[in-house]
Amino acid sequence: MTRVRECPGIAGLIIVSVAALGCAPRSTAALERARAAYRDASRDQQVTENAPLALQDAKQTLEKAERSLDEKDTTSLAYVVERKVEIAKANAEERVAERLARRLSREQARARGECGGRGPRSGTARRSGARPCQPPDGQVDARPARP
Amino acid sequence: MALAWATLLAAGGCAHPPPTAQVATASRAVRLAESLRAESYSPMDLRLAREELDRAERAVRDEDYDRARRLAEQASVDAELAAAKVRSEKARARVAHLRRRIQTPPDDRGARSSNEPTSR
Repeated sequence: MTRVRECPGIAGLIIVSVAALGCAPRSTAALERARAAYRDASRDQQVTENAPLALQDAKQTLEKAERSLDEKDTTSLAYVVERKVEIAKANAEERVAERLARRLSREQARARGECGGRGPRSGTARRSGARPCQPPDGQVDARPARP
Repeated sequence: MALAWATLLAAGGCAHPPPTAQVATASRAVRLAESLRAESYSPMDLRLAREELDRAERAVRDEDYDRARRLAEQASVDAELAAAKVRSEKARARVAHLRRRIQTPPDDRGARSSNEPTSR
């Protein structure tokens, strides 16, 4: 007897949960990974400062994936998001390394000028012989860009 | 006939036209990555991109346009990633080269300076 009385309640519960499932934000494994990848990158200062456009691009694709009603599209877009986040990271690493390379080149040019080793190449290194020969100021500490 | 049907269905919002632009974009991205020598710097990403492009083209022939579009988009992004990795790897190699030069005494530099990678 109690079973019969509970039945409508259970049926109702099932209907409600199925309806709720349909309306809740979808959470496939691929979408979860994409969200996590974007979230991590958006908290990485090296990426936000050096590759804001690439990161923005990943964000827009993530939004598209969230909006998509087609399961296959969502999965594919989620994959694209992850790869775009990787692109943003690579772009950021490239910029950091380029900046460092420019600084090292400048320091070497300056050192060459001051040591008189191979003669100054630029106008900035005219004070030839002003200082003893030494490695460029100990600022060569930045490591290759790695997150 | 198939084209007429496709057009009709597309007009009705039931199907999509062939993703010609997406496949062309993917093809360009793969060629760019190849020209940057991604083969030696990022072979996995390049191979993935080529395979996806290949499958996208096959899906176009099978008139499975949604699948073709998805594959083309994936191929594009994988080829772009391959290219991005090449560029960052080259920049890092330049830094490593400059560091080695700094560590080398000035008297020994002359012979090695010709190995310097082009800076752009």
